[in-house]
Amino acid sequence: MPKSGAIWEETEITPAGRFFPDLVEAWRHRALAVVFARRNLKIRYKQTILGRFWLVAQPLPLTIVLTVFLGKLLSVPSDGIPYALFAFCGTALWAAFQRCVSDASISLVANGALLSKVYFPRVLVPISAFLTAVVDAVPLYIVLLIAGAAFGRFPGWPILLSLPFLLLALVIALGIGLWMTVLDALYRDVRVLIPVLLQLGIYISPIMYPSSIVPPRWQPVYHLNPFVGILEGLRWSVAAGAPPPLPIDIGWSVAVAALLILTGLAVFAKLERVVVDSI
Amino acid sequence: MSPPAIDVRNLGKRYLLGEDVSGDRLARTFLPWRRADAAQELWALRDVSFSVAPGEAIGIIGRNGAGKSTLLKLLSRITAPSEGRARLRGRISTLLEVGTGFHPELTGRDNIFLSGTILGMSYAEVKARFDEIVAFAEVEKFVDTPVKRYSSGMYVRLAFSVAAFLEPEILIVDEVLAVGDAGFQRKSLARLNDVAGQDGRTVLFVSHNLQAIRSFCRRALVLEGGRLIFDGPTEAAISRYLQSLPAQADLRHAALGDRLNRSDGRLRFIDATAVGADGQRTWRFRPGDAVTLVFTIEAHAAVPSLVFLLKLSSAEDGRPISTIREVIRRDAIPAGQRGTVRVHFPVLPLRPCEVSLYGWLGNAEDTVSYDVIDSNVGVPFLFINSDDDDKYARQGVVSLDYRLTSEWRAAVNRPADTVAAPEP
Repeated sequence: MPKSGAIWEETEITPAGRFFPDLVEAWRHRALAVVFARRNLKIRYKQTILGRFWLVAQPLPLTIVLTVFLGKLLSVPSDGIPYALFAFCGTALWAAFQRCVSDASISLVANGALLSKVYFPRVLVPISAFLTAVVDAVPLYIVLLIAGAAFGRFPGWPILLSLPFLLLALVIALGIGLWMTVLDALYRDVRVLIPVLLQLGIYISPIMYPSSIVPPRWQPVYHLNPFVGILEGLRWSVAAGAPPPLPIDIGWSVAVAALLILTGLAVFAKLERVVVDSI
Repeated sequence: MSPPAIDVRNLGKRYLLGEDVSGDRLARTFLPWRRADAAQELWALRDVSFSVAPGEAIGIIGRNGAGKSTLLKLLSRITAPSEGRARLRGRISTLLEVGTGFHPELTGRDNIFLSGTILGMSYAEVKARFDEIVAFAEVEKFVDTPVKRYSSGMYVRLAFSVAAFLEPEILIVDEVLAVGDAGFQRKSLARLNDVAGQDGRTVLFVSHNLQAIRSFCRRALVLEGGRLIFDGPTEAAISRYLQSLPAQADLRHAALGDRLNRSDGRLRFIDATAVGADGQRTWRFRPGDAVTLVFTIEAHAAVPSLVFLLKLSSAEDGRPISTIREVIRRDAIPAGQRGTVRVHFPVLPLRPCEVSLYGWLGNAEDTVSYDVIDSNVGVPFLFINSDDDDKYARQGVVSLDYRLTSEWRAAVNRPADTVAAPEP
């Protein structure tokens, strides 16, 4: 007889993979994602002096350098808000996104020893990396809101949308992470490639300059980058004076996030079963 | 009749040999018609079928590389099969190592929650059993200490305790009982026995410890070279397994890397074998048999002196039975020489058991190790078996040499209950 709390289940083991991860099963084991995320948070800043302060400190040097060289010396426009605030919005969001992509991408290999000893829904591993990134983004997010107010730019009700914009960026990061983490297990090239792509992302997104400086004929191409809508939305919701984002850009960002998550889950389901053999 | 808890049909697992990091693999992953060349394939398990009734405890035995671990990994869904299928009914827990998911930086408390949920308990279940787990492990004072500060004994106890409180319908266990001190091992075995004895709890148990298999399982599977070669009563399975063991253990290359980590390799064991009174090589004996153990040794480099040490231990709990240490050579042995060491026991005084052998070569001062061998590098156990039906002749470890005498005479005081018949 199943004991209380136990679930009577039937498991069919066959060579064929699934088209999509078993999300019902993953939901049943959801406590594990939380436990993994707590483990990640607890061990990350062991033996550091500044601990969690690093999360806030990371984007600061880049913000300062950008403000001095691009904002002051080159007078790069900044969508009607102080350049320092403009740049900080961009670097803060990118720092959170970057952390989530890198952690999710290496998550399966990082937990390889565990994966080869016990079964649990594998998809919980990148999801726990995502949860870790969400918690890690909180201090930076609070500092960002304070910075907006400190510059005298409290935006009013749009501030309620700032968190959804941040989460949208992290969901895109999870989508990329789902793709990358199974590929990373098969081909370690992935972990070399990811920092390069993330670096490039800084230049092709409106982080240090506004999208308005892109020539009109290139605008449609430029707006294919889902971060155009997210970054403009975040600035509008953090600092009064920044123009509102185009609804179509936001719609596009949401569509890209959904597409990445769905295809990411499908690729994950296809490859998760062979991952252990190559870790 | 209730449906089987585990039903396995033609299960197989193929591995590709060699480092295969090429576009080829990418193509095979997404294009199912692209197949690897058969020459690169290795079937770790093939065409294995069996079924297990709910509540049955099944032992799985076989030599290293026979496919035992692969079978467990397939059934616990750690990796996917290449062919065949299996159906399992009930909640499954897998214990392939002690301390699954443990993180050294985290405290005992955190690790109990981490390991417990990884092994399949819900958060609420871990919480409900938390105190029992801590008490079973006897680490009450250290629950909030990072486990990296634990002694290895405490670590193993805590790790096993988490596992001991799982309540799955199907429990898959690999050689996890081979760690920890003997007392705790017995406690853990007793706990697992309770688990197995409960109604509806099905256990698959891999062990080299045949005694544990015997006491735990009424039925056993024997694997050899990835195939299931026997499925039946445990005693018959064990003797089938013993027949499959090679009489001579070739140690030339066995786990050489591991041995060289522990020793300098100037002298190396080449092979080990056991010979009975009839001169035949075998690892199976009866109590009281004459046994000769023969070790062949080769000098890869010159050594100044040679000591041979042989330790015989109970394979069941690791407890030493006896140790022999002899100086073989006080003078130098030049490179390229080969020698044999024979250890002759005229009468083996042991009761039915399995004896694990540990051989060590070193210098006369015991300061340098030349080579180390034990069951991990493929030295078989000495299997001592008896057909004696007298259970008292089977109990215990050694047969002591004894004389029993007994005398009888009339008692001086008549016992009180033998009073004369009442007078009329």
